[in-house]
Amino acid sequence: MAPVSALAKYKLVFLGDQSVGKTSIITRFMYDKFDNTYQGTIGIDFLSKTMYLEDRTVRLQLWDTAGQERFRSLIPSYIRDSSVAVIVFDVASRQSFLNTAKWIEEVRTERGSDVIIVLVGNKTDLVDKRQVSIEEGEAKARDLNVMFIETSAKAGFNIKALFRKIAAALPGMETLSSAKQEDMVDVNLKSSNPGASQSQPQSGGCAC
Amino acid sequence: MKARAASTAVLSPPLLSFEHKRDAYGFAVRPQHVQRYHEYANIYKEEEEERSDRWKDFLDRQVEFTQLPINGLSSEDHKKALHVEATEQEAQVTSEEGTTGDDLSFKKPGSDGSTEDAKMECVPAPLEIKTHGVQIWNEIRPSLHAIEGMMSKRVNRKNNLAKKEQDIEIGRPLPPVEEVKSTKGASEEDSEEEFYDVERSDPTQDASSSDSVSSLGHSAAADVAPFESLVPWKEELECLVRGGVPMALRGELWQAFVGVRARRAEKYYQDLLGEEINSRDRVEQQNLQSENSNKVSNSASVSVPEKWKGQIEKDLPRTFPGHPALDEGGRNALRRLLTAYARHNPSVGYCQAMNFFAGLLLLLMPEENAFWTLMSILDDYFDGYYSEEMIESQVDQLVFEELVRERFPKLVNHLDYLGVQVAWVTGPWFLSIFMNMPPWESGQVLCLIMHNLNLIP
Repeated sequence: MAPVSALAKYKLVFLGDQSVGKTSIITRFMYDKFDNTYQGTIGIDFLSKTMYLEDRTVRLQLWDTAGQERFRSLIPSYIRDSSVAVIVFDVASRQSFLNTAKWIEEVRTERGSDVIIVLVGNKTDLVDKRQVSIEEGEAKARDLNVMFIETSAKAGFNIKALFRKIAAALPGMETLSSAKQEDMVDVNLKSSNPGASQSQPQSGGCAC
Repeated sequence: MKARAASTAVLSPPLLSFEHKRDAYGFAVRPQHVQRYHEYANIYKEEEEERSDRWKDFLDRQVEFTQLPINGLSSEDHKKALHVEATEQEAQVTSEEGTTGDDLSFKKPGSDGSTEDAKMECVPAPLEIKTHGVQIWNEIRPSLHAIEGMMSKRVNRKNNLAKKEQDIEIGRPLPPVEEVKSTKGASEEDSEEEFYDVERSDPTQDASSSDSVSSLGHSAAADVAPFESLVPWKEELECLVRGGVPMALRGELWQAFVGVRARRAEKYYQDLLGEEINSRDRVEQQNLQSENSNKVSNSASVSVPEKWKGQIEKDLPRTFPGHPALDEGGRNALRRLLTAYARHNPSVGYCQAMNFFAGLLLLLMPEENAFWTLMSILDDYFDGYYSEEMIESQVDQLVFEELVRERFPKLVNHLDYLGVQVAWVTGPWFLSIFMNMPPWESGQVLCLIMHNLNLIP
């Protein structure tokens, strides 16, 4: 049981306008597949994946959200205890790029600076339709003090790089033991208290 | 459920076959659910067969029932009506007897062995593909008329009630809020009571008259209101619905439940769609005028109120992608349907998730019928759910969480422990009206909602 509970869990929430490719990025990462047509996400969807890094293993919980504006009223609760916010835009849609500012603001409101934010320009395969240059993306990321990467879920370009970049930035990568205190609030409350560990099976806590 | 699916996906991660498997409705089974679907496929099939048998038996008796002289229609007339309407149904297998036409449609649900091998790739029965796009408006099959009649009575009663309330409001310009509420509450109770009384008195009525046929005919002719008292099968119907409606019947039965015919206003759907053409004309006219007068045209003003247009457009290919019936014609119908609803109720406009029920309805019924059904689901049952603020859906989640806390404390404790809110798991179930979530074969929730639609005061 002990080794299982030692697996650090991180919540990643994916935000961005309708049809920018949030689900596609997640599916590419999860299954290494791409389909031309995905069903629109209703509300929220979540998946998890274990990522094996050189020095340790982390468990990523991926929270996929619906992009339509009105769903924003539901989003704050999704953001609340996330470690990472992945803000996606479509490089072929300037509007989706402009709206990322709103999404980032939303995350900052909920989490302050206690969160890693990554701006992702997706659909770089649409070379002829590009409306947002990589320089613009980089500039905006610098302004807002967030990370930036361009991807193509369709071509499989930079998807692994995106997640490695995130994993490398996760707090506590340097010192595992101290990280446990800070980041895994929910898990830690129990595991730091030996008496409580009996009330809930530890393995159950990590099974999803 | 989702959490469980996620964990199975992790057990056999990227190797899990990803090809889009399809269920009996032609819907893609999501990659994380494929395995489970495989396990349960045979059970679904068996259940469907059982359901079909139960419903067939019930509807056969319905046919007998409707052939009794009711509402002044002699059985002769009714038979004629049956025949005429059966031939009107293009997609229905044409047969000399309307009743055998009903029987035929029951043979569809995958009971023949040929679909055995291809059960995962099973394409929906030709009926569903053929009906959609071809027919704009169609009436439902005769053996369901009695059910439709019962449900439509409620629609009409509700309409009348609404009219009365309107009259009251018009009569007294500024009624105190509480008063209005209390009158509304009273009328609700009334109808509820009436409903139960009717139900209770029903069996005794039947038992007291040795010749039920004549009494049925008499009272029905005498008064339309106690029609529900003539419905000895009302409870049976509810039980059947709880067990699920077989695939082949869902479309028409839903229409009967909703009371599509009673709700329908002639030309309304076409007029809503007509606005598009008009507004386009207007834009063109404006452009012409502006060219003539050398002014800069502001066609933007026309497109502003319809900002949902782009959102619908984005979701069209993302609605049951790859479904055989959602080809170009199907997409166009879906666009029209969603556009018409957004114009009908601009305060809601278009909300993601609607595309799924609209698409489903199009698979099950003709386009205009789908519109009236969609409208009744969204306006009557999910009022305030998909509006900009989505207030009602949030309220539902809070109420539901309370219920789960009360009934399943262990589950909620565990979710709390994981830092997961109940709403995160169940929100999408409610928002999508339980479409997509449980497999279609077992999708009773929607059937129940349809059935109860007109019970909501």
